[in-house]
Amino acid sequence: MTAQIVTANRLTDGLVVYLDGAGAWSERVEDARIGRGEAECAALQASAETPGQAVLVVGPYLMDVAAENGTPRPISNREVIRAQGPTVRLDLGKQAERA
Amino acid sequence: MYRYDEFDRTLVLERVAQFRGQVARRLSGELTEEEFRPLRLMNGLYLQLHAYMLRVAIPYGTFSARQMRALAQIARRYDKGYGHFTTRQNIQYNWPKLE
Repeated sequence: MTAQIVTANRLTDGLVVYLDGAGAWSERVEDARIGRGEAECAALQASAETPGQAVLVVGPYLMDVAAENGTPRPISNREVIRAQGPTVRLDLGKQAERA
Repeated sequence: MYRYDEFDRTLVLERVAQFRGQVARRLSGELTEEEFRPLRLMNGLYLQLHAYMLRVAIPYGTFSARQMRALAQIARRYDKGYGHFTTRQNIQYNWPKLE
């Protein structure tokens, strides 16, 4: 059964965000709410595309994850990089703030 | 070196006012992302993998020390304290905020 989460870019600063369990947008992929199966995933995506969401995020879409003990982990290289931050100058981007 | 004159200054001020209005309308929801995208692209604001990117063209790749310091100030105040000089002799800011 497919496990997916919704991701987008935040409107105010363009940062990568994920739809969490409370319907809010978190910068951490670990917080993302997992949808299992087509119906659940479609519902998640629909909840991200409302006019209310359009002033919060840009271009939400569903992405595949591996669910490890209920914690989502990105699978594709692109999504791994989006979650971790830029691969050059680790001292300047998202990783630097997390450190 | 490019010589800025009153025509340039007026053009820039008008363009800034126009874009400021467009950004405000996007943030309020009056403009959709589809409507806003071509407008922000015309002003050098791109949405990339990790964040927005603002490209500032430097005519002839040549500028004064005073201008360089102004660009540095912008990086310090509005970005993460650095800028990226491209092979096209532009400067790009990698973490600007839309708001």
